[in-house]
Amino acid sequence: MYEKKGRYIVEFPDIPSERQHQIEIDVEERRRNYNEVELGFDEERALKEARRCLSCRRCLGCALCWAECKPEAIDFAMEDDIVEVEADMLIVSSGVERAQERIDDKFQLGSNLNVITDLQMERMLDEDGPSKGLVIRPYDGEVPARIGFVQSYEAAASGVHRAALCLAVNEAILLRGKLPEAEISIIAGELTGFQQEYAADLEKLADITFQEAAVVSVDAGEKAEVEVTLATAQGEECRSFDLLVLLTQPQLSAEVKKLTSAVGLEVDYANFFADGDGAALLATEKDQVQLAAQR
Amino acid sequence: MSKKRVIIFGGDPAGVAAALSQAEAGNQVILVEAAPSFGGRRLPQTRIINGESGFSAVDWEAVRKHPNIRLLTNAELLKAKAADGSFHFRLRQRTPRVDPEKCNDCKACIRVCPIHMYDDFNEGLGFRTAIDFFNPSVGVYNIFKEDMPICQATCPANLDIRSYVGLIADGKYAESLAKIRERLPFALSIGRVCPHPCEGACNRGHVDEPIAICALKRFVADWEMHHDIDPPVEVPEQFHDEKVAIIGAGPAGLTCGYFLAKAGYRSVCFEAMPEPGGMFRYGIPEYRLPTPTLMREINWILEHGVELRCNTRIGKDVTFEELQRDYAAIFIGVGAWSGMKLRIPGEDLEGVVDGVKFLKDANMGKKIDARGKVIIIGGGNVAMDAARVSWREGFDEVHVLYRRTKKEMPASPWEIDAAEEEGIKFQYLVAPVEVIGDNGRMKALKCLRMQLGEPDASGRRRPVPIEGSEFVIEAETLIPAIGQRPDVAFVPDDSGLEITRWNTLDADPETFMTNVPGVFTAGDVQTGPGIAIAACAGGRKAAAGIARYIEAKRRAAA
Repeated sequence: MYEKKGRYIVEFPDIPSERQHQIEIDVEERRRNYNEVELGFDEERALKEARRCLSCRRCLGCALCWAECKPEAIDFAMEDDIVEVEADMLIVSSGVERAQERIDDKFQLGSNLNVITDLQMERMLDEDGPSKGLVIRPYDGEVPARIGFVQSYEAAASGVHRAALCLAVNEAILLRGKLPEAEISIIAGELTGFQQEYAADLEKLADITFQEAAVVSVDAGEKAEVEVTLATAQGEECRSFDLLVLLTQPQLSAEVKKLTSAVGLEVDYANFFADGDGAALLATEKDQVQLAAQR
Repeated sequence: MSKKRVIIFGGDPAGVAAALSQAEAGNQVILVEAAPSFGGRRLPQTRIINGESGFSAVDWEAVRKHPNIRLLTNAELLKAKAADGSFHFRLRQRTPRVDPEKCNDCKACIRVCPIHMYDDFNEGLGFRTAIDFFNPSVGVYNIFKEDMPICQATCPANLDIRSYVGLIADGKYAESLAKIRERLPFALSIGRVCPHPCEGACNRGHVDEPIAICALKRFVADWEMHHDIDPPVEVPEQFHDEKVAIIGAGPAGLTCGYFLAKAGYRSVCFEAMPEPGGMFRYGIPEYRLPTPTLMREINWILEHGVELRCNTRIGKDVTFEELQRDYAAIFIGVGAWSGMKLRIPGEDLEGVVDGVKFLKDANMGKKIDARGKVIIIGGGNVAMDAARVSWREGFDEVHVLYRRTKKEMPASPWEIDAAEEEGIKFQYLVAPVEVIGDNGRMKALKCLRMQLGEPDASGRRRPVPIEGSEFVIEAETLIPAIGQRPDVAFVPDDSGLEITRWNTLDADPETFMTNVPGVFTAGDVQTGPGIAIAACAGGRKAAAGIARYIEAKRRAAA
């Protein structure tokens, strides 16, 4: 019997998960000579190792869809185009980019199925999303009763931190609409300023709790619940959630960085925030370049 | 207000809203988006929603139908130029491979697609097929096909790793080796020495650990060697009349010769050293790549129609002009053999020997005076090789001094580990300031302790000296290994070859031709010191460039 890991990733008993290691000669055998140190693989190890390959690919060109397509819309011979365009004015919109690789391993993103990012939560809340607007735990499809939002970045510029918190609060509001009974908490290192700034909006959210704390560690519980150890002003505290949502730090995509540096403009993500209901376009130091405000 | 041409990058709700308002104002709008279709519905990030549905939806139909908006999806920026008050952009628009005019959104293709891939639109929640509409609210179908798997895209030589690993799994070792040799003649050697950037990119690393790609390459090459199988020599029946001169029988030059032979051109390879192999032979220590193993591979390459002339230095034994006169094209692959100087007093004392030269002497079997302590300066793979060779030569103590910390060391982590296992001592955050001598011979090294300051251009934190932290280490030998430069002294001044400020030769990225017609270059002499597989990749591409050049000349003469 194999353990249930969820999401189609089954460990086949004939495919080892550990990487095979080359045979090496001992350190004692290396002094004052130039004997080859690594001896490579024997056949058994090589076969084991080669079978671990996932053969990554996207479309294989198997042409099943092409055979199936009645209107014959599919054409594998279509080629990329190189397009040359001229413009008098440039508007840059930063979109949403939140690097997952910068999230510390201690949050167990990827290894614990019930830890997701705020962007994944956003997709889950959307009627067009992967679960058609249902909020479920990825591990077993259960409806979560206790949902925690925690900050996963160390520190960020105040505008960026505010954007991350706004997204979390908006998601919490939509969650509340879908799950009237759920226990929803938002946990971040620095909340006071944000709570003062948005006091009028937050007043109506009496059933969403806010807590100033930092995550020390995340562990999986017996029933796939997420056990979070928090460092608060009063000392350490343990809390348990069915679903943990990580607040991530919005940042500029590589594409936007490449574009802005090519036209000689220095911007960071915070440049894209409009104040309140400010204008849709934000001026930059260059007359012909504007930024589309993120709202 | 006059009509403007506006370009908008980013098809998220903010970008689309800007596109609509600009188009309504009568401007000509181009909307560029990197994804196959426009970004999905988003929640606000600068305000708290108030009793509304929350998601900002975009009126796609209005965007699509607007006469003033041109949409460019799946587009990446190649080049941007700002000049005389207007912008010029060059974009690549990846093909969807589905004609949107014909597609009737019946989803039959999605039902039959066997590929389940990471659903990037839904942030990896669930899977999607390789053909789909990406964003359900827009619904433009496209086939997601990468040019190559991530390992292959990362490999400088773009080896078809997926195929040769798969062939090993099937037990088809000869076919696997043939697959490697389609793009690389040095399976035995590269399988031993490559720092394998492919493994860093391997997707299996997200599941548990990356595939040991490099060791598998070595396995099939070893399998052929251990079974005494003669590697196949496949060249065209008829060679062309033109011959090519190759300067330097290293990874780049020999790879170039191999692929020229495959294209039907004989070549003559001039090598200044007594034996071929370049850095494979004289830079990589024997315990990582034994000479008999290397020679087996080189002899096989020579059999393809590459003539080798060793102990032949250009400018001394034969002139550059003679080569230009006698050969249809010249390939320069002389590598980067000159060690960088520390630029500290006492560097010319006896006992100070540059890292590359030290490895060369050891590889030639010269007697090395291995008395007392040796200090190696540097944190790259050459420094690790020099340290591990010193230890084998029998120095009492081997110390490696590095300006930054272990985390910033550019050497491969397994090389650092192996050096530590062999008992080599590392001292971090130390920089040399003066070599102290006695009767013209080194006896000690004066150093400074450093601390890490602000990140520099390379993103690494710059070490800054700590005032008054000088200390002295006694040692008889010092090996600086802090980088190399090509030695291009053999190039005559009147040849017209342009030499960059890094002492390298510039080449066209497509054809690998220098600014002098008929003279090509690749490898370390073109890129500065790099890894062997990158030099091999350059040699292969240059061979293609040379073949095209000779054919074009032949056509012009006809």
